[in-house]
Amino acid sequence: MPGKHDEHSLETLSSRAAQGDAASFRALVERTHGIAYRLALRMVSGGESDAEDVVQDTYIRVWRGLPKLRDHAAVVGFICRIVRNVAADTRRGKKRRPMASLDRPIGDGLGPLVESIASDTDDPEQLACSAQVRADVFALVDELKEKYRVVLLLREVDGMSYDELSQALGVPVGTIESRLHRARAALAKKVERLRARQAKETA
Amino acid sequence: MNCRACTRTLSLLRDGRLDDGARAEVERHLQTCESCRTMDGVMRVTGDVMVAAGPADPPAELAARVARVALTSDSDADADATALWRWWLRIAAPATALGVAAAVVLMLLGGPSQPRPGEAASEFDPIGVMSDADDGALDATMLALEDD
Repeated sequence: MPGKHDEHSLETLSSRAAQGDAASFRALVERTHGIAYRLALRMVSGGESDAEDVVQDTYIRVWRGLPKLRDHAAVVGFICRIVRNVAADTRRGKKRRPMASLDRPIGDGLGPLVESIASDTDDPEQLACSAQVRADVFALVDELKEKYRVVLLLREVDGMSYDELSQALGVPVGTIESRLHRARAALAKKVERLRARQAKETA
Repeated sequence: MNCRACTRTLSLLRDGRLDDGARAEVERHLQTCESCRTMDGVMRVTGDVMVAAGPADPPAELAARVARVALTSDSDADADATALWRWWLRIAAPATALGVAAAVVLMLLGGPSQPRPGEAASEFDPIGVMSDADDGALDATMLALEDD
């Protein structure tokens, strides 16, 4: 991890880019577009294509807004705030559509998942190989409120740390803890409800 | 530890954010509570399924493309502004000047002539608002309107 005032630190790159240094801006994009892309992907419904558009619009605004940025040490938070705004504009433009295919009822693929929980002998890798299980889990995640869905996906799928989540979502770490707890609890309840329904149907 | 406290810490347990003492306490509770154990199992398995999906990596060329477009967007914006300014100078400015000149000429040539004292109101004063004789009537009308 580069030092705060390292030649190639994000702060230095941001500061130089703000003065019109194109090379520093390119390096800044290279170093930050991963978090911007993942955040965009979790916030819009149109998949990779929409996420790329959001990232593109974001960096146009970043390039124009950098000269007005006072604290270049907070450039990642600045970029993520723009991602959230652009993604919100994009979402307003179109109605969210479910990420998972809902051609079949949710829960068809939860049989193995439910069995593994019941038997306490889960094999996540094997479960994850089942496209049906994965689609069902993601369909249930998609039913969560946005603020819970986004934080859960960024944590579990993208593997962001709590500090990165705090920076990406612009909220304190304590809020991240709280949202993750609520997201996981809500998801567990949904799985439990499905399990109960399936048990009732088979009885 | 009760179930409420336990479920509140399961998320932190999964992310390895509990100290040794708290972790041991939660694990002890899980050994004796089937309900919390089930909740923990569901959180763990659904989480692992998501983890196995893997992070979304941006396309390889995205950074270069994004930077290129952003850097040229500035000159595009400048070009747009310049084009707008040129359009204004070529078309809108002369048209506006012409319009103002025409308005001034019309005012000078076609404006109402002032009647001399004692003359009837001119044809440009059809309701006689310029006529001294009708001042009273006009005042009465205005007062009536104000009363309304």
